[in-house]
Amino acid sequence: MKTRSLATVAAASAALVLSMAGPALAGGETGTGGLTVHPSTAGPGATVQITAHCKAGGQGTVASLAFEHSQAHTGGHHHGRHHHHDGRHHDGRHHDHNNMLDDSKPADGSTHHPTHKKGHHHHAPFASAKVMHQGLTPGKTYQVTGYCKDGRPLTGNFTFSGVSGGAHAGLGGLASGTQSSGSGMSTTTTAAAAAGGLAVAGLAGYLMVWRRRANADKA
Amino acid sequence: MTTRQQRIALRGRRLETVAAMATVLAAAALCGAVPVKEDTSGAGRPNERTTVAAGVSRPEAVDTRPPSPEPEPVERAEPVRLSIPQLGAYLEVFAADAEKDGTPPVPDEKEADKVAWYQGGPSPGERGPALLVGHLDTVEGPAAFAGLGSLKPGAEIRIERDDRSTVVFTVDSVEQYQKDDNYPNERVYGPTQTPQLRLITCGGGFTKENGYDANIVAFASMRG
Repeated sequence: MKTRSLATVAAASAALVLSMAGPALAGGETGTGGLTVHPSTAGPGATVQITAHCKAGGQGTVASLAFEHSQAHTGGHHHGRHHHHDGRHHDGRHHDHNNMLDDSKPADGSTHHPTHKKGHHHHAPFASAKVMHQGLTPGKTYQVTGYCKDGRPLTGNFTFSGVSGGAHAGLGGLASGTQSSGSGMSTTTTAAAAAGGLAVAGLAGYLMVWRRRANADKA
Repeated sequence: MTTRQQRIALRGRRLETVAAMATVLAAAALCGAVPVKEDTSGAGRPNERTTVAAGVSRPEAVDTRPPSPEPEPVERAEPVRLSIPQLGAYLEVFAADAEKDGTPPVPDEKEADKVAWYQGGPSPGERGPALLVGHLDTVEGPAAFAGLGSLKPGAEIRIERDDRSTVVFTVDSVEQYQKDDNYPNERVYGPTQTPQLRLITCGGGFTKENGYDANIVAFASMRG
């Protein structure tokens, strides 16, 4: 009896863990929202890529207060056409021209090859967006919304860092190849100067003595 | 037949010659032994690279939770001075906005001995990563953050603030990242649960056209 109850508890625990891990196992990095923004933290003017974690894949553009505009990826092989959209006014309802709620029709009027609908790039970014240059609060997290091809709404998060990319914090190139401070370079210069001075002094002294002796011999 | 005086004179001359030649040769050898500063721009040395020292990179120390008790964030105040005892550095800090291209602020060349604090983000002691950027060098010599790549985990960083308080941080790890599309923005600039510091300078290879191609980042967390 005791063994049975333990087994029941273990099974219940396993089920709980598996149910919680489900979205993660399915590849979702944003929990239940279904959208992954990469990078999820960026600064003004940065371009971010959005991936949908739904069976049908994402479609259309995405919207967020953090984005200046977004652009749908039609894969390039769909006649290379992109859809531009001001993400700030996106309400998810005016994309009828994209047929975004109808997965059976092409999004841009082009002819979709059936294999595209099988989602060989469902986990590739379906949209990109450009982060606002002004008006955002550094450190604040903004919601991003989008849609699956089957019409299911998706959400994700984006954090505005205020800055992005590497800092341009070196001017001279003097430190290339070494981590030592500049004291090494000044020591080098001093040694070279001392050695040069010594050489010149020695040579001059020798010439003077040689000349004096030569004159003495003549006399 | 040479006289004794002539023989002494001849020997003296030979001695002088040998002494003079030895001096010249010694000086020449000394000059050859020291490296010559040929090109201060570094343009001719694209293959030389500035890297972090061995043993200073500990990514797991950045990723793991801070030791208990977690440090309590303090109220916002502007940093005015930064000291790093290990490097013997005591530097002036000033507030600055991001560069026009969205990258973190950097001091002007004339202020290469100072450190720029990104005032759009947290201040040192507030929750989140406070960004402090200093130059690695100038054409004249080392700058404020020369030697950052050798900062050892556990090293102390003290920040004096304009409210007369001082907050103390401990270095967790020093990393180097290429300045390309794979730059880890989230790791360097992303939000954190605790007060942290990011000391940033340049590293990697240098060319006159593009400057350094990498950043050295020291991750530090506030002491509890």
